[in-house]
Amino acid sequence: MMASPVAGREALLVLRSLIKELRYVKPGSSPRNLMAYQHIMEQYRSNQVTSEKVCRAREELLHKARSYLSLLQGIREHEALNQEYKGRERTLEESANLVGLRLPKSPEKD
Amino acid sequence: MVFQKLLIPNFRTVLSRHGNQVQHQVPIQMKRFLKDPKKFYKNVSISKADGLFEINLDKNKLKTPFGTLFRVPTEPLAVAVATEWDSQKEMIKKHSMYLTSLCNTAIDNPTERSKETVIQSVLRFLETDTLCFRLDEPPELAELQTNHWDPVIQWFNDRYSADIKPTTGIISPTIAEETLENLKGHLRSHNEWALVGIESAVHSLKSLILAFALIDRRVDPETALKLSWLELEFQVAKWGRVEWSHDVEFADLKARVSAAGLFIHMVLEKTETIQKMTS
Repeated sequence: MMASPVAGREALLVLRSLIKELRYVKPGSSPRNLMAYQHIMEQYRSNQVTSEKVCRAREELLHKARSYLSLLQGIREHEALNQEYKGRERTLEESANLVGLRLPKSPEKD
Repeated sequence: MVFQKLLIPNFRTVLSRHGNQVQHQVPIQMKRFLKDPKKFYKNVSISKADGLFEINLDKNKLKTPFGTLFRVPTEPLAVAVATEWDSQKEMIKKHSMYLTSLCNTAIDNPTERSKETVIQSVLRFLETDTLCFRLDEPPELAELQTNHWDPVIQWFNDRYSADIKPTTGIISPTIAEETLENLKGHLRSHNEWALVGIESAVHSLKSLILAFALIDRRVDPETALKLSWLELEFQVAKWGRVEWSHDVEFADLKARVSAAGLFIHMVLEKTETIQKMTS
């Protein structure tokens, strides 16, 4: 299988998305300080050679990169959705509204 | 078919003497394990010892739920696990640490099953493989299933000298003894850690065929999950999506399948290192 420019472009898109996801690991500090970042960059650099022999290695790297990306995305999406839909105790106002009542107006402060 | 709750993250399964039964009354001491603990460390690092990799949370070494020293056979896996611990905020969300869970299961083997038992359990999934059960209506769904699933089955049959055929009935198709023996042999060639990942993938995808396609890198984790959810996605497109149910579950499964795939690829062919761990 020939090394195609399309595969190279997809690899870069995945890398960009990965770095974006890694920003959420430690928000506030640069993702470049993370071990994961350094490891991924190292893998990408050592697979830069465009030759048929290392095509398989590049395929494997791309698959791993995609897997790690969907892992990070899945975790973040799951957490975000949980936060959005998690139940909370009803406020006093909501409880009153359930039976058609309204809270009395509290007197104005002087 | 009874699905055993095999991969319970960081949860001490209380085993009775007569089998793997979880007690229904949760003792007070156990409830501690059910709550998310506060993050008790600042820095996460990895260190190498005896050819294996350990995780350090500040000055403490990470341990498994059973109290064993947490050690993994490869550096990429250690880095990924360390990142899970590093990305925790105020509370430690154990349920979101999928790679840590897989490692814990591999190290502790909480259900105390032999490799052969695990292989049997994995193979049994073939009898109820999602890809094998087809609907004949609505015709659009039947067509979707044919177009998306038939090529995967074809690939599987060619690659593993199998003879799997889909059915529109409800009775499991009988699988040739030879096919089962072939697949058993193939699964036996994997080390115990890889099998933990494979079992997780099969469970999450509800399909052995899709799990194998993932292992062989024929599909990526998200594609594998979409194939597994073909019918559900079809119904949802027709009848409407319930975000707090569908999307939540999809996100969780996406992470699970991705973790399983990544885990498998990171421990494949590390049999020697893994054997050294148990000796």
